[in-house]
Amino acid sequence: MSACPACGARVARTARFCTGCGGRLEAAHAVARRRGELEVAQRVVAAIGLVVLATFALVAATALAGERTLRVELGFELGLAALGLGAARVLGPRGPREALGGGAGPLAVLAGVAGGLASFAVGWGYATAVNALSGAEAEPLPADELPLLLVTVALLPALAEEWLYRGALWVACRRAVGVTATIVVTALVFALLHGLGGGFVLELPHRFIAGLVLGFLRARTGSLAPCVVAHLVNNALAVLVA
Amino acid sequence: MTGTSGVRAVCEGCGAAYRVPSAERAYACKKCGGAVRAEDGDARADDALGRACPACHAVLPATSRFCPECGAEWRAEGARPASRRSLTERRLAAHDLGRARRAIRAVRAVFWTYGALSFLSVLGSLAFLRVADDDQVGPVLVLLGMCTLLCLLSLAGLNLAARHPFPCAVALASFASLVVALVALQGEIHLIPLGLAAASWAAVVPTARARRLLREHSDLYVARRLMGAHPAEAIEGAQAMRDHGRRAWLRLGAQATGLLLLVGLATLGVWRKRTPLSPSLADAGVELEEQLALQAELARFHKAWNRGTPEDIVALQSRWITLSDATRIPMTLARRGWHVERPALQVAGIDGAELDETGMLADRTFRFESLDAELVTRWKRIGRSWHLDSLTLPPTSLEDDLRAFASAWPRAERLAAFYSEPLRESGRASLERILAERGWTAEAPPLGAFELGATHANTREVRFAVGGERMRTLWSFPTGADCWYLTVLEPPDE
Repeated sequence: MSACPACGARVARTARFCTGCGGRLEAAHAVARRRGELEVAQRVVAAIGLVVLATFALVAATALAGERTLRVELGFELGLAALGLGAARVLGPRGPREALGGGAGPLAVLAGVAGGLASFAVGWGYATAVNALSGAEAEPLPADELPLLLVTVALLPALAEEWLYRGALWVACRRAVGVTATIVVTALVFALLHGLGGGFVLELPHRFIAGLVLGFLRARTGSLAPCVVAHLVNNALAVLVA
Repeated sequence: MTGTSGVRAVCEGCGAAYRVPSAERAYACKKCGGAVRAEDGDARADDALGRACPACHAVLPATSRFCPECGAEWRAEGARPASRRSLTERRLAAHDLGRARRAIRAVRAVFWTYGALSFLSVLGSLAFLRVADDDQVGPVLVLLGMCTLLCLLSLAGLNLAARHPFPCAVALASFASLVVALVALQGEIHLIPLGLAAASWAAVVPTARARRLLREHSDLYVARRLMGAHPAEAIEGAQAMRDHGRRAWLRLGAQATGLLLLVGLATLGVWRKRTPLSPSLADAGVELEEQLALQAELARFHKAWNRGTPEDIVALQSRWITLSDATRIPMTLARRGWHVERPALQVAGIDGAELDETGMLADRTFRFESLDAELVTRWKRIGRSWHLDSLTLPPTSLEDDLRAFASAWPRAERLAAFYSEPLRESGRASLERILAERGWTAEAPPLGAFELGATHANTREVRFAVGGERMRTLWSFPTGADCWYLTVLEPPDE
């Protein structure tokens, strides 16, 4: 129930005219609805802005910190996870739960493995082609630090980045646009946020395709778990091949 | 019709309560258009909840005087239900769409800026490619690809901003923030990228609701203007949106194809004319801008030699050189008979550079297309610009010089070019005097066959047949010279 602004009579929230004085309630309802929509839009943009700007700040701070030790990596990934939580909370009390999505069955996990393999194949082919063209050589990773690398380069980023992009950012975009546009936007932002790693636009094509694959998984399964699995497979293979 | 007639019914879509005349039929809901069906059981007899509105059949609470759905007094007859979209709603939507329209304009302006900058970068990459050596070609091609990709993304944003405002605004804001972050990582803060990023983020909020508003109010004037449909067109708003989307994709496809073709053809053209700069220039400490400036001067020289006049070549020299001796190059060319037409040169890069006490010098050797010979040019850096310092023409044989001498006879100004530089003025005066004494200024007997005489050190005697007489000349080949010089000319006795 709500009150008529003219006579104070209690009327149903959905009523378009006051039952006491016959005054039009539509204008009040329209203004209230618009205010609500604007508030939702502002929350959405605040969440997206938080994800993008704070991630840039975090990446820049990490780059300025110098050597990327385990502690720095851990702090960075924890920072990303905290950002994701903050952005999801900005969306409302149900934001974090929506960001996590539903549960995933074994078929969804298998789809995640396949998605990870596919995105790795695309990324590896692209990186090989660019390196061949530019004459650059990839630096081999130290073999004795393999378990540590798998944790810092594969596991932690898969958890933190998926929570951030396919979790918080996904829910924020989904409230403003459809599924297709959400997949494209999250993939584009995912690719752009990797541009500070030194490659600028060079990072865009293969990361964008990987983002599309991960977004497709999220859209089809409705869960974050297959995206984490796919990201983990992609990064782990990159570490093992390097 | 009475207020209590009919049976109770509810909308299956939105749950609105109605009274309908017949329980057997389904009715359309006035709110959402869903199916309104009669409730089960003994609802037909239940009148305790109130009466039905005579205009819209909505259920009226027992104490109400006015219908909560259409505002009609329940006793009034013939009351019309109000339209579903109120004027306020339309005004608010028009206001918000107007804001979205301005935001989309701002987004498109930023896309324009990035697109123009990317296109300039494409041109810069092509300029680099033209002078890049083999080691640099790969990275330059990657740079060219990056800039082309940015151009394509800017084109996509420009075309799709009105149809998909929110994704375009978010992508643009993220990209602009990336640029700011990259600049900041270099330890600098530039206002232009910062301003572009701020403008992009400011445009995101108005565009967040634009899509929904466009869908719900596609008949609004601003919505139709946003989609590029004329307000007077007899076309539905939704159809205008679909048409606009189709046109935007078609336009984007055509522009992207055109851009890729343009860049591809330009790359091929530049690749064919690629003239790598010498690494010795960089080794000698010449800045890249100066290397490019030298490359541009070489291109001007190539054009002036193949298609210009000797004056065009002289124009490439420093003003200080031309003030002291503007005739040296025209004389040298005239001596070879190259004052009007010259054998064509091939395009060439830079051979090497050295820093001597007079400044930076760079050499370039051009090859002739039709002759098996080379032309060496020397360039001098004065300030930040390069000037032609000297030309070294391919060495000639005595027979070639004698034939050229015979073709120049009897024009004193051309024959003077066969004297070495210190003797040129006196030689010219002597020639003019001889020709005048013989009365050969207007018309002279042609030079006949020449006869090679004795050789003394680097000097050779040559006799020409002229008017049945013999004219004795002496020719010398100084050390380091590229041709024979006339030293003595004795006219036949009268």
